[in-house]
Amino acid sequence: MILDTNPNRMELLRLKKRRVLAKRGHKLLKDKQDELMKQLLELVDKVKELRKKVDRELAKATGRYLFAKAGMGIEFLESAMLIPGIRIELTIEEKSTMGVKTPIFKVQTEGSIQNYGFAHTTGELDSSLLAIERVVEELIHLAEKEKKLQLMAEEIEKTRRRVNALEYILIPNLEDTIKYITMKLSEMERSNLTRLMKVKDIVRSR
Amino acid sequence: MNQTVEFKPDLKYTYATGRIRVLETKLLSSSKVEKMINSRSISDVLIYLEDTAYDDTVGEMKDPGKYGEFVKIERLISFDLMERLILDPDVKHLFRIPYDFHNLKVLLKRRLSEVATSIVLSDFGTIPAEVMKTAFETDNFHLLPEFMREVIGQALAQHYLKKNLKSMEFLIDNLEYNHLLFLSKKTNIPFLVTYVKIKIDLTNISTFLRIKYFNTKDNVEEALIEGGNLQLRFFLQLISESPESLPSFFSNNPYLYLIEEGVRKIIEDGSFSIFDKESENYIMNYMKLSRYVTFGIEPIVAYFVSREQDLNIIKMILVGKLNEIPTEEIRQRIPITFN
Amino acid sequence: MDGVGIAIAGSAMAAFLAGIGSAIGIGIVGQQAAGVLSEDPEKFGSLFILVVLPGTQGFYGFLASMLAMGKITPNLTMIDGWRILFACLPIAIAGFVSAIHQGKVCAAGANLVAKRADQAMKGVMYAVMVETYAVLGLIITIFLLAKV
Repeated sequence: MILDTNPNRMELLRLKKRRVLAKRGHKLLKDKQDELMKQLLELVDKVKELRKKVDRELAKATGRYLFAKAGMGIEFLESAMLIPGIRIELTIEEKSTMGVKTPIFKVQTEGSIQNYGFAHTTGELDSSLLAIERVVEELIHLAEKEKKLQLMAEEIEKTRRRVNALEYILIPNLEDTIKYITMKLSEMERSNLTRLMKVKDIVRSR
Repeated sequence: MNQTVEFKPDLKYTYATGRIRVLETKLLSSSKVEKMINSRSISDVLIYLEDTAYDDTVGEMKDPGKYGEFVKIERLISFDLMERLILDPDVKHLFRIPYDFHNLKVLLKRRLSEVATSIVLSDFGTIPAEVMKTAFETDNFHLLPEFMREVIGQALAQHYLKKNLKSMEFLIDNLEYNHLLFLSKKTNIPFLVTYVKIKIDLTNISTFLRIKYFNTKDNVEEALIEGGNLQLRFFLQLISESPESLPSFFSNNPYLYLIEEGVRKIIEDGSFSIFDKESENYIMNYMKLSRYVTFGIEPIVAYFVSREQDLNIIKMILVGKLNEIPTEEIRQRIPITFN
Repeated sequence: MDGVGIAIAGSAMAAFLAGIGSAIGIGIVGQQAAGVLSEDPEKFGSLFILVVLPGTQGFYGFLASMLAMGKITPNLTMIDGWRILFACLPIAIAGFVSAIHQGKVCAAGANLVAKRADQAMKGVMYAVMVETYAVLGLIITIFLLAKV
């Protein structure tokens, strides 16, 4: 498509500058896209593994908790769990990598999840609760990674759209226009020349 | 199992033992449990409960997920039977007092922490739950029996000193077992005294391993309970030993097998499942000694304890099947039964 | 003091000591059997023999007492009176003690029946072994009375 411009030299110069700029931008964006893609793929593998691990451990820990719960009197479990002994504080910070703002979760735990006497509770209850506590930490870690993944994927999408816009629309357009203007200009040149020759002929025949 | 105990014949319980001997045959047997573990679906598990003591209640259980309801009803039946068969009030109290202490803990915890929680009190205690509640709500502790008042006083003093709920709970547990030991000695039945002592020992071993293995910052001396066969000194000198070497210190004591098996699993993957199971097995093996008693309260106590055990086993199998846990994993957690 | 009073005392002892023993013995096994039956009434048949077994001593005592009574004549000498009394002692004492113990053995047998009804005869066999000594006591009493 040819842009709506006046075919003159000034415009041609301006367009040529724009073309250089667009090409440089295209290259930069392309590089960014490649790099993001590379990181994304690395992260995807890690997240996949972590997800599997967390899923497995969560299932295991809850299974153990269920057995521990079944193995003791329901009343005693109730009084053991009455007062929560643990506080989990979650602070969220932002970090920017390649223009992508990703959150970083910081977990701070205070106290112990085991907040009851030993006499009417079983060791398996402790160990299952501690397993759950560990899984929760990994779960938060996983959430952070998955969010990062999502944000990166969005950024890649955006970058790809930009790259495509540059590659398939802006740059071809600019090139078409430049070509058009160049042709128009040389056309004008030629018509000028013929006009001049004609004038020269008329003057000479006189 | 090399626990020995003296049995004193008591002709008061002749009728009751006769009844218990029939009831006993309807407790879960190991072959039945095995079939339940191997069954593919929940409904199969429930089928195997037919012809057992739990037949009627199982028939009324519509949703296996609500096994809590089932256990509650069966518990009521157990306590009701005990109420009728055991003539000695101190023996009944031996099994009801833990629920008093449970209620006490719940009420104390609610009062001392500012967390507003809904509470559920147990009705199995010797003091009616309503009385406990009113006593706490109106600060009228004279409604409570003397031992309870004393426990409350000591618990509050401990909390005031240590500012720590856990510390207070340790003290309450200690007082509870002291009271149980006192009651069992009052009954003058060696079987019961040894039972309470075994309970204390098992609790202490468990507490010790938990503190040691999970490295909680709890004070061992506070958490352990006095009065068992194993002295507190014995545990205190073990506190710095490595977990692997623990069994060697128990070499000439009846808990050796339980420690060996339990500790092996704990070292392997931090799970107390085997230890807990072996503890239950130890108590059950002790209860089995009552099989040879014709006249006495022991078979009734053993029946009561075995029934509780059965209920736990049913709960565990149902939980396992409901959550589609592999058969092998369920099996390794199921303790032995009386039959 | 003539021999009649002493002989009557002997005859009475044979009846009441063995009778008390039987009553206690049946009391024990009866309670146990009632416990079993309250949960499983179908076992009445297998339990019946076990419950009546300790009752035999009372019957032996009664028999010995009757025999002794036959020996009592109005002009019994003191020596003969004592003889009759001592002759009655074996069944009186053996009956008393064995009936109580048989009651306990039968109660244990009732426990066995509670678990496995088909094993009832084994419980009865053990109880019968206790019975032997009551029977021996009775035989001795009879022979001794014959010698008076």
